[in-house]
Amino acid sequence: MKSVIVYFGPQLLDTVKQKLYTEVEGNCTGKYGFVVAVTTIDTIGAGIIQPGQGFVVYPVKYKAIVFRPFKGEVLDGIVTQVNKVGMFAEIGPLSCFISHHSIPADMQFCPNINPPCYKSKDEDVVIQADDEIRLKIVGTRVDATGIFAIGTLMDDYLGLVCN
Amino acid sequence: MSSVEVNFPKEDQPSRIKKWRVSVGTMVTAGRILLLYHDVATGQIEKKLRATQFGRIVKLLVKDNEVVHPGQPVLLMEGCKHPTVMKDLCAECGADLRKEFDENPDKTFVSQANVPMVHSVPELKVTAELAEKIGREDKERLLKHKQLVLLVDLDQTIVHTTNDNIPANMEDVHHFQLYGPASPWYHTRLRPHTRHFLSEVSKLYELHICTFGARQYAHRVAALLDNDGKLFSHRILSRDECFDPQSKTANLKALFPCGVDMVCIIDDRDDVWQGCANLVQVKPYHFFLHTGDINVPPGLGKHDDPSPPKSLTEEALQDANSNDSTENGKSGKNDNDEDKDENIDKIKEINNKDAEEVHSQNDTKNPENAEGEQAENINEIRVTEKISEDDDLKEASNNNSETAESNQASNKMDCKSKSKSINSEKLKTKKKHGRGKKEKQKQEDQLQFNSKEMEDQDDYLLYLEDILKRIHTEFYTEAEIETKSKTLREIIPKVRSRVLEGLCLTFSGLVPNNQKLHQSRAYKVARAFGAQVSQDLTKQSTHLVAIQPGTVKVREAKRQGKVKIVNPDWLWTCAERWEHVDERLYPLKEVPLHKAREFRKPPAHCSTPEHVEDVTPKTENNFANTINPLMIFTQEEIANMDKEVNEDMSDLEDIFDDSDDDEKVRKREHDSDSNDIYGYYDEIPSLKKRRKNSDNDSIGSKSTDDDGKTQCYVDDDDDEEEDDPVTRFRRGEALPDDLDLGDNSQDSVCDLETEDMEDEREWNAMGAALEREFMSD
Repeated sequence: MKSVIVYFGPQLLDTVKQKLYTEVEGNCTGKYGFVVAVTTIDTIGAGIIQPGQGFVVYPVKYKAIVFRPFKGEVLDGIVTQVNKVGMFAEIGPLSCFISHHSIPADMQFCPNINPPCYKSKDEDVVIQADDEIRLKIVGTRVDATGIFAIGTLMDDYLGLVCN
Repeated sequence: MSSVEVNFPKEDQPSRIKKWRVSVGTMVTAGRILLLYHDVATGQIEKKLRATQFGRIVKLLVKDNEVVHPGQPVLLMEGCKHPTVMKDLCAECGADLRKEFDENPDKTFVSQANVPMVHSVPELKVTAELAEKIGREDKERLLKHKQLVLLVDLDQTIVHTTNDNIPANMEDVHHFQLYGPASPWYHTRLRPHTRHFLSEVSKLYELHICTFGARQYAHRVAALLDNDGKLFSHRILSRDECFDPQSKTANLKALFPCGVDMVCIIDDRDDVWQGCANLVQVKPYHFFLHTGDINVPPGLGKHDDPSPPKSLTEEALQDANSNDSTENGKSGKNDNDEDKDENIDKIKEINNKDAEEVHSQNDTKNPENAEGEQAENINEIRVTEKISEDDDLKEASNNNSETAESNQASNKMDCKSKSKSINSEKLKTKKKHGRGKKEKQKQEDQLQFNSKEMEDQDDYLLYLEDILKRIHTEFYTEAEIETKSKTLREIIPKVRSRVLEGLCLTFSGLVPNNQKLHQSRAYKVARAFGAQVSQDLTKQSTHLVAIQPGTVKVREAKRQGKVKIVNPDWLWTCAERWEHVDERLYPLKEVPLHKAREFRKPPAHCSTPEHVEDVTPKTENNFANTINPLMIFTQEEIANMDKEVNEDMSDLEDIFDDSDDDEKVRKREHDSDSNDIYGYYDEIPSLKKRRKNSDNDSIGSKSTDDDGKTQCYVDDDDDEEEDDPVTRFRRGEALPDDLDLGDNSQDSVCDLETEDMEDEREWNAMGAALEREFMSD
């Protein structure tokens, strides 16, 4: 009973808003991608008490900033892992794999250098973990819980981003 | 996948090709420049032809400086074969393979990628071809840098981890939680010299972690060992990536597609590697009491010491196979207090005696050392260090029994410097339980751990480092001599067999009377390490490994003079360290018989000798065949059995068909109509019973081949019938009302007879088969 008093009091709508923020922000839906932040809450509809439970469901309309990667999009990411098959990068919440074949052919994998890296022949470009790269997305796998992307560095102006 | 032509754009003017930017075999992605060209007419403006899709260039159809017309094919391109796949997405062209698979589900060419090449990302798969190519590159790189690959196990090889509560002030123990604040604490102790070992070995080997710990655990421990990723980088294979929960061998093929010729493995258990010759088995590291390997594969618990719990005295004395202090500690618990008091007294007596012996031995040894053989000196110094430390311990404690025990400890350490810390740990546990008072236990825990700080003298990694260095040197010297690449599969046994090369051992009391010499583990260990073993003392004999003084062989050896007489621990220590240890550290002493038996068993980690030639493998195999009765059936017989089963099935149907002539059955059917669910099932046994009766009649008259068959399923039916009412009764269901116990029992008597007959025939057949085999051999 106590919990009912707390939630169904004068602060009810605040509670609903709070719930929305905690549940939605940072989550990922297949349709809209990652919800970065809720900007405005437009309407909070009439709540419906669930039969047999004490819970209430409110229809809420809100606007949010989302991150939904698309094929062909060019993004900046941080390299997380470099291995002989390719490299992994993270673009915020999105993790992305770039195959060895999608890395320019003049860049070779050097496992003996610590940390392992991809290095161009004249050694002026070195990509290793924690470097910032610009990549193009060539494919995405959208699951219920997250998005995974395949990227490439084989295009103009892609590759290591010099700061 | 068929190749596609790429045409010159139709809307363009006839042009001259200036330069190809790709060649045959290049992978191109959409948007990549294929060639540069300019109009024939103007000859000025340079244009680029870009690829419109992903693929590999198969053939260039026009050459540089040729003129191409609009619509003319310029190159042949092959579609993406999806050689690298990540989460069912092709990592080359980005295609969703799940969609492609749905579109053509019967076609297997969607992707051949099935080799997870990256340790920590099992979802990332490549084709066997690509894997091999990468593997070959790896191999060339290793050869170029004169390196090999080393797979390192974590638990009990280079660390020991426990979930038990331990004092907080222990040195060199790392505490961490893996799964959030409420999850269990892990306490990980690095084996002494681990950092030195890893940094030394990493110069010669590319290190990989290969553990049955969970992924988070493996990565956490890797971070402890190697904070900046210098040693292991991302080469961490954990339980989450293992194909098989009980074996690590399955992953080798994926990680090293070009074979394991350059892979060396260090692990404390060999069962997870299925006798892989690349394995160097390591003495398990044991630091925390009562904790074995916390990441034991399911169903493969360790049973190093299967001996039943012993009294304290026995336990204190037996140290031959004590590599698992956990079990000993546990067995100590079982003893009751009365025994303990007595036992402590006994220990005291024995210890005093032993201690005297030890000192006298030390005295005799010292002058010998002065003569100066280096290896001996090292060993001796180690031993004396230990003694002095234990002396300190002695002084620190006023407790008599403790003095006696540490005395005992020093004695043990002297006579065998193997498993030293473990022994003293064991003693501590015993002491703890010996007093049996809970208030004292806390203090003692503290004491125990504090003293253990200095007692943890496990120096196995130093030996292991030496072993690995030897293997590495051997591999690359061989590689220089021979152009043909060598494999560690051969090199490791070869290095091992050099350890005791040229020695000729004779065992006394080591092999039980009822066992053949070449079948004993001692023999196999000795052979694996390169020693010759003879049944009796000969002129060539150099060592006599005996468990008891005073045997015929020992006396004979003493008379000959040249033969060195040692106890079995000498052999086990040689096997453990892969070096010829000084015989004088392992003198033969008078020991009680039960302890002597313990001596016979080598420690579980002594390298397994699968590769040693087995003298009689054939007979063993044959005998195994006869043990399994299925093996003595011929193909024809098995086919017959199948037929019988099939007939049995069809017979059942027949019964239902011609059941209307029986009124009982009709009654049952009626019952089942009237909502009795179980009735339907009940009627089957009852039908069978009927059927059986008639069969038995026919058997009684004359058993033909046909009857033999029916017999088979009569037996089956009987079982079912016997079981069914009982099980049903247990389930609380109503028993079938027509269940006639009298009838039933009569039936079963009948059946028993036939069963016996059948059994007898089977046994006769087996006996005959056995006999034939022995005769033929």
